[in-house]
Amino acid sequence: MKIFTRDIFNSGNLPLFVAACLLTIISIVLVYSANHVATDPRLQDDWVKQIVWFLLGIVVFVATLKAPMRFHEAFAYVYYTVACVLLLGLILFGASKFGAQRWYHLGFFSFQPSEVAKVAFIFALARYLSYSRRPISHLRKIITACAMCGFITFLVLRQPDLGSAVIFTVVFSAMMFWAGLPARYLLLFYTPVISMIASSSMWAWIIFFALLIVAATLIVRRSPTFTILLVTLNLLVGALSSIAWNHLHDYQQMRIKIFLDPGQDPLGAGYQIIQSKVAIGSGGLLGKGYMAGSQNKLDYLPLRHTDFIFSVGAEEFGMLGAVVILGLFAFLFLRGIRTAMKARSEFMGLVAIGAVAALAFQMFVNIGMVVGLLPVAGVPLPFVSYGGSSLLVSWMLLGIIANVERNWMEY
Amino acid sequence: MIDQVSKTTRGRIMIGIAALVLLALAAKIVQLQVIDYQYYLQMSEENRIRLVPRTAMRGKIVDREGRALAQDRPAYTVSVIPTEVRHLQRLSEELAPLIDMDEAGIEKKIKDRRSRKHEPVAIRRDLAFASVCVIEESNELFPGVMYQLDHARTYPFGNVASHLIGYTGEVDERETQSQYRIGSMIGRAGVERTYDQPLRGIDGVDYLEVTASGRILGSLESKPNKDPVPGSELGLSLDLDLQMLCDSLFGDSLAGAAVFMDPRTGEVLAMTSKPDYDANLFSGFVPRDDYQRLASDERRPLLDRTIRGLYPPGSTAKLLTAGAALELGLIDVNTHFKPCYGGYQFGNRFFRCHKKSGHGSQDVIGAIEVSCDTYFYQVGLKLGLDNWTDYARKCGFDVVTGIDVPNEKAGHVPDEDWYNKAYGKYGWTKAVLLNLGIGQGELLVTPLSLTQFYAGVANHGKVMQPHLMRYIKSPNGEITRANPVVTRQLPFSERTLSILVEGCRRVVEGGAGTAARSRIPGIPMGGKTGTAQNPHGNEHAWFCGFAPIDNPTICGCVIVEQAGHGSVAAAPIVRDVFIRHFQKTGLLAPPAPAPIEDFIALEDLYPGHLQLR
Repeated sequence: MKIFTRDIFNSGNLPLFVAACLLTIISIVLVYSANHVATDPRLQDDWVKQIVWFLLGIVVFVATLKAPMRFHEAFAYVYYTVACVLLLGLILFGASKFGAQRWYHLGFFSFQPSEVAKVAFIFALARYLSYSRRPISHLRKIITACAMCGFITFLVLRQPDLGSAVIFTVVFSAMMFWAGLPARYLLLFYTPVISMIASSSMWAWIIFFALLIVAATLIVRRSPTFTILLVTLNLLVGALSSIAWNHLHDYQQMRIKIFLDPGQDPLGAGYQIIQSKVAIGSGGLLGKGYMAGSQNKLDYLPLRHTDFIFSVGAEEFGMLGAVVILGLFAFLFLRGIRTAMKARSEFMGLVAIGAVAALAFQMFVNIGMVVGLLPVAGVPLPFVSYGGSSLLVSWMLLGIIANVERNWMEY
Repeated sequence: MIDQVSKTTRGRIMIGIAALVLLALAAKIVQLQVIDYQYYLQMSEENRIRLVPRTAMRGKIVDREGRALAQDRPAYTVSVIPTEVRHLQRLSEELAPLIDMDEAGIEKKIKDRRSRKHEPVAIRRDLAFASVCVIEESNELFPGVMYQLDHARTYPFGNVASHLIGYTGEVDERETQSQYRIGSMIGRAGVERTYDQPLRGIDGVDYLEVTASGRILGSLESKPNKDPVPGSELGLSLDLDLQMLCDSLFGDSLAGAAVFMDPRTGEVLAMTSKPDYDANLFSGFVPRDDYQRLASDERRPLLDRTIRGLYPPGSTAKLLTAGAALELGLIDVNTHFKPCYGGYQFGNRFFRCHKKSGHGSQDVIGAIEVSCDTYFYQVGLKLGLDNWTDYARKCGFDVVTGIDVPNEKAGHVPDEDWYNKAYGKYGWTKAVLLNLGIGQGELLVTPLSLTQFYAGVANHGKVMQPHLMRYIKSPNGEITRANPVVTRQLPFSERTLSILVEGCRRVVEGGAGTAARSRIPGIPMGGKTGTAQNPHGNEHAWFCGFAPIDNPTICGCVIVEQAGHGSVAAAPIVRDVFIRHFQKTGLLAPPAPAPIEDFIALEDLYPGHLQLR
C-alpha cells in the first residue's frame, strides 16, 4: 500500500491523479442517475460495475506509472505487433455487435483491442521516431512512420470503427509535429481529407481551393514545388473522390451523408442530437438538479450512460457542471503537455504527447458530438463514459503521463 | 534530435490548440445553456417533439410486360407512443376489440419496444376504415394512440410466383441495421428482400410539437418536414402469362417445381413451386393462425422447391455422364456396349433397365433417345468415380447458380471422400457408379441448377447466371439494367455438345424418343425425360427441354413429385408452356379464341329458345 501511495503522492503527480479521480467519480454519479430509471434491470447495476472498473483503473494507473520506461521502450515493437495480431484476429474471430466486429467476448467482459492498440501505437511510434537517426523530414522516415500508422488504422477501419481510426491519425500527427515535422507536411496530410469532403459540392470545392492556394503561398512561400505538389494532390484527391462517389450504391452514399449531416436521418442519428441539445440547453446555468433531468428520466436521451453521458451531466448540473468537467480536462491536458515539454528523453516526451493527444481528441469528439458541433461518432468520453475498456485505457494513458512526469530528468 | 528551444515553441502551440478546442466547446455550451436556454427549456418542459415518420411508398414489382405483381395501396395504421401510455392494461383492453387483436398481442408490441419509446409503434396495420373512425371519435379515451395513412403491400395475383416475389415484414428490435427504422417494412423473402434497398425509397418525417398531455400544437418551426421519396420500380424478366399457365398446369393437386429461362441471357421467364401460398397473407397484419397453418402444413407450401428442393436428377443427368465420357475420349459417337437385354449384370447383382424387354445395342445418341440404363451403367463404369465427380463439379452441380432470390441451396455432388465418410472406407463398391451414371443415388440437384445446365447445353456450352431483375427504374426515371452474366463454360467441346443436343432432339423428335408425345409441330425441340427414385413414395417425374433446337430462346425443367414417368407428367407441362411462349413470340399461330359461351347464357335466359339460333 505504501508503495502505491508513495508513487502517487511524492512524484508531483498528485494533482493529475486527483483530477482524474474527480472525473471518474462524476462518471459514477452520472451513470447512477442515467440508469436508475432504466427499464432493463441489468442496466441498473452499471454504476456498481463502474466503481469496480474505477478501482481496477487505479491499479492499472499505478502499474503503468511504476513500470520502467526503459522496459516499454524495449518492448514497444512487441506491443505494436501484439496489438496488430489482436486486431487481425478480430476480423477473423471477433464477436459481431451492431454490425461491427470490435470486441472479444471474454465471458464476464467484452474486450475491445482497438483501445489497447492506441497505447501500443504510441509506444511504437515514439520508439521509432526517437531511435531513427535521420532528420524528421527525411522522406524514408516519414514513409515508415506513415506505414506504421496506416497499417493499424486500416485494421481498425476494417471493423469498421471510423471513430477510433481517426484517433490514430490525430495521435500520429501530434507526435510527428512534436518530433519536429514542419507544419506544411501536416498540411499535405490533412488538406486532401478536406478536399475529399469539399468535393461533394462544387462551390465548397472552389472556395476550399481558393483558401488552400492563399494558405500555401503564405505559409510555404519558400518552396514553390511544395505548393504545386500540395495543390496537385488536392485536385487529384478531390476529382477521384467525386468519381468514386458516383460509383457507390445509394445506401452507401446515404450512410456517408448521414455521418456528415445527421439531420438527414432525423429518426436515427439526427434524433439523438436534437434530444441531446434539448437536454443540455434546458439545463441552464445551474441545472435541473441531481436525478431530476426530465430529458434523461423520460427516456428521451439515447445511449445516455455511454456516449451521451455529458448531456446527462449538463442537464442535471447545468453550465456549472459542464464547466467543471471541461476544467478538469483542461487541467489534465495542460499538465500533460508541460510534462512532455519537461521530459529530457525524446522517447518520453513523444509518449507523453501521444497520450495527451489521444485523451484530448476523444474528449473533443465526444463533447463536440453531444453539443452538435461534430458528426455523430461512437467515441466515449475519457474517464466519464460508462465502460471497462475505455476507462482502463484512459487510466493507462494517464499512467504514462505520470510515469514521464516522475522520470522527467532521465535521458 | 529535438532541440529544447523549438520544443518549448511546439509545447506552446500545443497548449494553444488545446485552449482553442476547449474554448470552442465552451462557446457552444454557452450558446445552448445561456443564449438559447429559454427555447430549450420550453422544449423540454412544456413541449415535446414528436417525430411522425411518413413511410415512403414501396416501389412496384412488374413483369416483363409491365403488369404489376406487387404494389402498395393506401391503408390505415394504428400506432401507440409508449411513453404516453398511462395504463397499458386498460388501453389494450379497450383497443383490442376495435382493432381485432388480442390484448396480449397489443401489450407485447408496446413492451417489446425497449428503445425509442417516444416514437410511434405500429400496432395494427391495414385497419378497416370503420375502426379508424371509432378511434378518431373517441380520441381522448386513448392517450398516445394515433392513426396514420400508411401503405399496405398487395400482390394482385396472390399465389402466382409468390415464392420468388416474396413478401415484406416489420423491422423488429433485434435487427440492428441502423439505416432501418424499427417498425418500418422490410423485404423478407424473394426479390422483395434482394431488392429491398431500391424498392423501399426514403422515409420522410413530420416534426410535430406536442404538449406533455399529448395535444398536437402543430409543426415545429425550426425544422421543416421531410417528404418521403418513393421507392424504385423493379422490372422482372418474368412473363406473367407463362407463369400463370405453368401454375395452372400443376393445378392444386400436384407438387413440384418448374423453371423456364432464356438460355441466351439467363432471364427467368417463369418459376413455379407447388404447393404455394398467397403472398397477401403476409402483407400488413398476419393473423397468427394463418402462419401456423402454413408453417405446419406437411405439403410444405412455404418451401421454394425451385431453389431449395434437392432431388436426384434421374435420367436427366445422363447428359452429364455421356458428355464426360465423350470429352475424355472413353466413348465416341459410334461406341456400342454390351447390348441391353433388360438390364446389366455387375458382379453378383443384376441392374435393371427401365425397359424389361431391353433396348438391344445402342450408340450414345440412341441411348439418350431411349434413355437406356444398361448403356449408361457401362459408361459410368468406364468413367470412374473421380472423373464423374470432376465433371459434375465443372458443370456446377455443387454450387448455387447465384440467382437474385435469397437462400438458394447448392446441390450435392458425392466424391470418394464422401462415400468413405458415409459408408466407411470399405463399405461401398463400384456399384455406386452404376447408379450415378444414370442419375440416381447420391447426386442431388435443385430444379434451377438443372435448368441452368440444360440452358448451357442448349447455348453452346455458355452457362448464364439465372436472374429475375431486368431493370430498376428510380422515381426520377433513371433506369439501371441488368447485364447478362456468364457463370461458366461447360467442360464440353462443340463436338460433344452437338452429340448431346442431337440426343436431346431424338428424345422428342425421334421415333423411339421417350418424349415423342410432347412434340410441338413446327418447332424442333430437344429435351430429356427423367424418372427419379424416391425413397418416400412414388418416383418423381422430370423433363428438361429447350427449343427451337438450333437457336433456343427458351429452356425449361419441370419436376412433378411422385408422378411416375417424366414423359407422362412433366414433359406435357414443358410443351404447353413452350407453345404459349412461341405463340407470344410469333413462331406459332396465336391461340384460337376461347369458345363463346353465350349458348349457355341464352339457354339460361330463355329456356327452350335455343332452336331459334
